[in-house]
Amino acid sequence: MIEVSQLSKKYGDKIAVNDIDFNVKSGELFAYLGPNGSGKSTTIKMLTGLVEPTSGMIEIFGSKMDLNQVDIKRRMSFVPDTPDIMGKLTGSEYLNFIASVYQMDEVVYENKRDELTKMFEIDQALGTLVEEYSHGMRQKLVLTAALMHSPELLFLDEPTVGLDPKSNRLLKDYLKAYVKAGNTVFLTTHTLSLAEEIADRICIIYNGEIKITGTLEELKDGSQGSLEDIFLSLTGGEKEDAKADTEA
Amino acid sequence: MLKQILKLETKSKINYLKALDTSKILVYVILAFIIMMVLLPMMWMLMSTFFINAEESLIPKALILLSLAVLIIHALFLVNGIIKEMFMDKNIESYLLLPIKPTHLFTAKMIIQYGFKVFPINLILAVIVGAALTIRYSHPVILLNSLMYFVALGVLTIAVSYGLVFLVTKISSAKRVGEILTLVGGFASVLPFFIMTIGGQYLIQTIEMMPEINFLYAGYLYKPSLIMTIVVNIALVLLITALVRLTVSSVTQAFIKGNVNDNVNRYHGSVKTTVDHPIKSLIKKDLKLTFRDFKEWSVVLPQYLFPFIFLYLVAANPVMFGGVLNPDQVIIAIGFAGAVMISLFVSAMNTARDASHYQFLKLLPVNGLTLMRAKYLYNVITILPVYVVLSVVIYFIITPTLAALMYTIILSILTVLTVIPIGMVIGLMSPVVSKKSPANRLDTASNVIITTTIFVLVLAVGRISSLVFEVVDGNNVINHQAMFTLLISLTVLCLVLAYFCIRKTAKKHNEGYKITYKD
Repeated sequence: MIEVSQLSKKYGDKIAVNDIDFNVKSGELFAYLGPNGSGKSTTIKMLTGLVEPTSGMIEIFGSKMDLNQVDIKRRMSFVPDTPDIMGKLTGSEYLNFIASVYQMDEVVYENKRDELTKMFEIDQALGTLVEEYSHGMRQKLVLTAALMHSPELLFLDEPTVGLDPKSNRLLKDYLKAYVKAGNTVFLTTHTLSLAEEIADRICIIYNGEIKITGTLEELKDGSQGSLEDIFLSLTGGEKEDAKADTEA
Repeated sequence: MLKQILKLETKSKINYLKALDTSKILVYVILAFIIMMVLLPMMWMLMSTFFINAEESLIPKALILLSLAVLIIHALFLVNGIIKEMFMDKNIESYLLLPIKPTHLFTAKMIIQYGFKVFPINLILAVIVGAALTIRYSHPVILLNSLMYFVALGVLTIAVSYGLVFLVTKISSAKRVGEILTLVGGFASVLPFFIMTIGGQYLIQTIEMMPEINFLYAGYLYKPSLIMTIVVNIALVLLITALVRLTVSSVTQAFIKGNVNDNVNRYHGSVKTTVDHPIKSLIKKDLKLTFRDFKEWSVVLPQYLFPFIFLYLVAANPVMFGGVLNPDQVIIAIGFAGAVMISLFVSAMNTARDASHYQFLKLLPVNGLTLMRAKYLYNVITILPVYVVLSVVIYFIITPTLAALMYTIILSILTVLTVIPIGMVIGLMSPVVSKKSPANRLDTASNVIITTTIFVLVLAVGRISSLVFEVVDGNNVINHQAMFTLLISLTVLCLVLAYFCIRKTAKKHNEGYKITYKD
């Protein structure tokens, strides 16, 4: 589904992503973890075509990723970390617009919209302008828009930020079922428990370089530690903790 | 504490000036040069001639008109700044979380607004009026009184602006008020031009119609007396103190009690299920974003006043703009010049707006060509009908022949269709995204292109008609053959430009373009 090889991105002299390789299989939920500034968002933006790589190759659905290929875009969705929607549209108008550009069947659209907006409990707010929505409601609207046309591949950048616990749980359950149905999810998150709970494979990136990739069991490699322990040991967090303890 | 806030705010303004790029510095230097060399001498010449030579009974009337004009225009301009600095600036919240008294914060904000935006202009007016009247009455105390008077007028202006902002927040949400007042501010930017030109023309008639108001300024700004000088100056000091206290306390109360934000009139539309063709859905999206946002209106609506300015220029000063024209020539000239100007500016602004949600559009499963076709149609829908209506309004004002109106409508339609693609190319040259000033969408180069075109059009507006008119028996009549040739040429040109420019902008969208993010 996603093939990445020798992918790098430089911003001037600063290396954001350095020569990374990984692949995501069809029907897999792939969690991409890393601390702030490690290169997660740059990677997801390169995968979705929003940022051009400095070098390396990205293949999605067996083709080179290019945002000018409308057919590829029709089969995928991206939920960015900041739900920046045009505020002067109502929730309903925004979803109508998305359904129109994805050329959805009207009946299918109506059913999917009703199902998702009821699940996220924003169905009563659809007539309200998006600018009146809270951060969480916007996030739910963007998630609805991303899911309603049933993409085969879903990119989620910090999808649970701003979501209340109930919606968080609903989203997790929805994603599990969604992946079980054969679809693919590429997820970046700081919430390690989320990755631990729903990811099929986990990849940890630090300072632009991939530190480890595998299933949770493979990452643990027989040890008793949690994902948090593994994450901190690979991203320098333990050293920071030790340093803080010594100073204290 | 007040001193520290003032120091910080001033430092922030200085840092802003230090960070200006060369092109902006150049624009400011040119503007300063124009103000120093053209505007100030012109103001001095006009106002001093009047105040030195006019009949004494006209002086108080002129002073009250000048004060009202300054108060209204200045207050409207200030409203924009207040909205930006008090409602859209998160710094206010950050300040309020620090151990700072709210009264100190808002006093500092007002001092900054007064010092940077009000005082310099009022000082110039005070010196011009005061000096002219000092010369007339040979009494230097008038200059001091004039300074005091305009300082007080400035404080009143600030108080009126704040009053206007907080009065409207009682009826609508702060966000909505921001939009409405930005629209008002947009009109305020063309208001001075109208007041100076149209108001100037009827100034004498207006002054003559006014009642006698000698009691307002006699003994103070003209024919000065010691008692009146002392009494009025004490009264003005008291007025300034009262206005400052009242405004600061109202602003502080409004923010602390949250009065400015508790009025939220929520829009609630119906929930309809519609799946349209992508182009139709893109046009609908753009129309909604435009009609629901007063800030969008403020960007484009003032431009629609320019055909009337062209009309005034041609009628008021025919010699400068190509000689005396008959109504047929006037409507055709305005039909062309106005259509070029509006289409160029509005289509550039409409197209540049997409930069603010470029990533979102880029991820949609529609290619650049579809997006730009939709944008072209949206521009046509929002510009063409308005311009046809404007042509009809001008027809009723100057009553040319029906044939001239028909030609004007066809000519302006073809001109609009020809210029929109060019405006779209300009709009995507290097758009700017600013959350604080959403109307600031074009970079310096694009603004220079548009301003130069407008300047050329203003100078050429009276001469445009000579292309399609001929002299028959001493009268200027429409040369139908020349007109047909022009219309056919424009038809071909609009098709060619639409084809190439839409493709060029689509390619630019696909490849990505430079976007400057401000604030």
